Amino acid sequence: MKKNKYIILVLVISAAIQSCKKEQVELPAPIVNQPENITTLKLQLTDSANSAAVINAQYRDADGPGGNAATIDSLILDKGKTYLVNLVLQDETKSPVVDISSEVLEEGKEHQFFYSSTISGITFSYNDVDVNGNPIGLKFKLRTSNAAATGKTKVTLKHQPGVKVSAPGDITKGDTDVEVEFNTRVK
Amino acid sequence: MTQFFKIIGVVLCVIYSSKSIGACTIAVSGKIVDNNSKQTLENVSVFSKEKNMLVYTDSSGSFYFNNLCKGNISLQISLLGYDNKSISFSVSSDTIIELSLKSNSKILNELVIHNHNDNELGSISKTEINQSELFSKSGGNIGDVLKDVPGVTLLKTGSSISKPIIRGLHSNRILILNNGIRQEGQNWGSEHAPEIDPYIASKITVLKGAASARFGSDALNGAILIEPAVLPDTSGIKTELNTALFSNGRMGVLSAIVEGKTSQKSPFAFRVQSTVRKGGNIHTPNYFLINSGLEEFNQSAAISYKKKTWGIDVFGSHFNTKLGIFSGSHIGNLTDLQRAFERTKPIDTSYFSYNINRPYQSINHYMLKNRFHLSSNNYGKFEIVYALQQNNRAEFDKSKPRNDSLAALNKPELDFRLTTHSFDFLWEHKKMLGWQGSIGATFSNQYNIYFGRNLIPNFQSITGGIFIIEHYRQENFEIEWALRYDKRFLNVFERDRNDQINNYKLNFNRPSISMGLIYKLFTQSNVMANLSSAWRAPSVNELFSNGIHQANATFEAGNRTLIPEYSYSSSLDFNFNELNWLKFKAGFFAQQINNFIFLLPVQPPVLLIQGAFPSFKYFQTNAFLYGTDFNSEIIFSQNVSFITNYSLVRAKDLENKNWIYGIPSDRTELKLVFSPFTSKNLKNTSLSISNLFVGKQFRLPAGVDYAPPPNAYQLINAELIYQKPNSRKNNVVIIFGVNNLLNTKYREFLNSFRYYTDEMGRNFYLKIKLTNLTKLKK
Repeated sequence: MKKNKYIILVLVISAAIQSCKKEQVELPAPIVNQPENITTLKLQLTDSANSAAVINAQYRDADGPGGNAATIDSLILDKGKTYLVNLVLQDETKSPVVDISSEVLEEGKEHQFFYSSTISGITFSYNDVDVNGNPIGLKFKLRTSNAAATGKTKVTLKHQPGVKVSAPGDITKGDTDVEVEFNTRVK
Repeated sequence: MTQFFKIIGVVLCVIYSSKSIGACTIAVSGKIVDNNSKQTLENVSVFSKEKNMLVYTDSSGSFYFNNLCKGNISLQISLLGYDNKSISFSVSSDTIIELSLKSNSKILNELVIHNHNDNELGSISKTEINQSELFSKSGGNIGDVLKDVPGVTLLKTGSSISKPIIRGLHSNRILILNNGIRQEGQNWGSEHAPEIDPYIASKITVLKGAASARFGSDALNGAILIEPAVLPDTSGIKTELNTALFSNGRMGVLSAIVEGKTSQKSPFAFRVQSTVRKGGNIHTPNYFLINSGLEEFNQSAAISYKKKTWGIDVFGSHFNTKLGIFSGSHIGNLTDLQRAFERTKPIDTSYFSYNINRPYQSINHYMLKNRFHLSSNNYGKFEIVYALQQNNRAEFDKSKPRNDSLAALNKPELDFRLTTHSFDFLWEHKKMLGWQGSIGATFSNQYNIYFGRNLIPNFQSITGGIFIIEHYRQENFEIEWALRYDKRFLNVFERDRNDQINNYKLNFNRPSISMGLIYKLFTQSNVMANLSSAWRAPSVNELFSNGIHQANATFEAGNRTLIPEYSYSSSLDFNFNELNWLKFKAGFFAQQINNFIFLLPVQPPVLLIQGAFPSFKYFQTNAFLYGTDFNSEIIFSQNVSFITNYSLVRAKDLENKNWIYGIPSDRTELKLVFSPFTSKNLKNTSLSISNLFVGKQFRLPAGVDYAPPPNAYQLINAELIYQKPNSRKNNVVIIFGVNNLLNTKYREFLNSFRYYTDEMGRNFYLKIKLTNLTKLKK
């Protein structure tokens, strides 16, 4: 009987000590699994007739979702041109900066970019294929007509594991990884 | 370690005793009924002098003694509300007897008034779910058990995740007490279900109304008390096996309990319990839902050491689940969401499979409880409880990281670890100056650490509270009051965008008050009134959350300027049991919550590289909630009865003169129960058919939802229950039923997957419960 009371006392006290010990302030743990972000989309447009004439436009949200708003360049194009476009995706929240576009290329059969513009004179065509021969869209051609116009150009990247279909693809399938609009002027 | 050896000792002892059956082999069984109504009486204590053993009658009024010797046997029979009875007779072979007890109306009258403990608030509207009801609702999660309580609805995420809504409010405003311990998980999230195995419970009590004055600020709008059975008091080993099979999702559940006590004199009693549950893709009336399976594996063990005046209980449990999330619900941005609900069915419908792929949740919850209790003739009862809880929640997004080496690690995108230490002290004092009651104190220290994406920051929370509850009881009425003071300290470590750690220290404190009256209207009916003032500190997610909610494509921003909610509530309840043919319970409530915290969309939407996300921020307003819930039973004859359940809640935003979003719509359940058989073997067999009608929720503010609310729906369910009669030793209960008999296609406003999919289609089920009681020789 006496012994039991002693055991209880020890149990209660040890529980109390255990609890109080934790009262010291815990520091936040290191973030071991920081998620992947896409912060930057760069378009590099090269005039097919003049490889020295290069236009750059980018969408950049260097601190990732939330925080500071993104900066978005305008896309200023010349009339009656064909541009060869190279698209780059980056994660600038990491150091060194992670090149996301090479990972998209690697998983090309699960990804597809879609392009559209409110300017009727602008047309797009794919310039790359995945292992199944379907377009990805990291490389594409952009053509402008002979009419000057202003509007918006939209770039969408869909992640379509298992549901990607052959050209021209289906924008309604899968999840949206990127959806960016550039103010566009054809002069 | 000593305890471990003691457990081993108990087990060995059990094995030894069960083998040594003596020469006395006579069995005496019997049934006890009320001498007026001839209804069987449950929980009657029957004491055999010869065996020095106490047993209780089961739900069919039966008791059983075995291994009795030839000769005289005397039994002492007692039940609260009835006169005691002693009988003696001689036995020479197995004997069956029937006894009747005469009711002692004076005590019964008092029961109408004093049906609660000294440390409880008796005037708050409550519903109890007893053991047989628990079994008939078993097989699902804790939400499935609670969903038929009038005034309770479920907030769902798909078919496998649900959490209770009490009278319109949920999550941070409701407290769940699991075996007397405040359940501490990531309770703030609407897709974070309580981490509790329903098979642990032998009784669940739902308190509908502010229970803060007893339980602290989280119980602002109610509390759910999940209580396991008390460990056995008589020697014997009881084993219980529960199985449930469901046609939809092809789910199987197996749960087993072994509990016992080696001898009448031993101070030890024990229980071990385990549940395993596995289900695959569920089927709506027209298609399978991909990745909607689940796995669950839980264990618990309890041991108690009980002397005459004091005792110790130790309880440990582990809850483990993996829940597949229907992958069509994880979407990229607002455009995807728009496309999802323009479709009549999901784009990637599936086939049947038990596989669980991304996205899924994986949750582990550990609990250790130590309780010491002491009762003194002069001073009353004392109780000290220490509990440790560890809640690990990992949520895996639909897509793995693109980077192969990161993907290979298969780490969860959201990963929270919450540790909670809690102390509770309670003193139930003796009657003093006519007042009976309790004084208590609670203390808890918890800290949360995340390892995945930033959604809520790391924090430490220290809470302390002291309370007093007092009751003044007379034959016709009872007055009660409770006062509690709580203090909460929140220490938040927020990692900002430049990787700097910002430390915020927040302090909240305030009293809660509750006053109640229970008045006896007639001999078996009462009216209860309660007035309460309660409060709740803003939670960490409301203050600091900052990130994308993948599941519903919203960007959620906390609000650091939030102040506590103050609630002033009143309730009135009628419990009417006067007539043989009619019983009803009706509850009415009205409450004002000042500084009510809620989410509201803000313009413009957040523009992210994934596209536009609706942006939500936490705001405060003064809210007014009112409503009723109602339950009645009309007994046409011994064979037919008719049950009605009805719930109604209204919630107004007083400042913006608008409705509050996310309140359950009105619902009515009608149920017809037949027990047509009179033969001895089928006496406890009953057939029921019910119709649930859920109205359309059109009381919501304009412009806050992506899609219009779903239409009203009706469901028909049917159930057949068979119980083997008069079987104290081996009991069998079998239930066969069907939910959504007509395979109705419908969507529920309170299911966040209503944008993407229909609800579950027809679901047949079979549930079997086997109980075996082995008596041990002294």
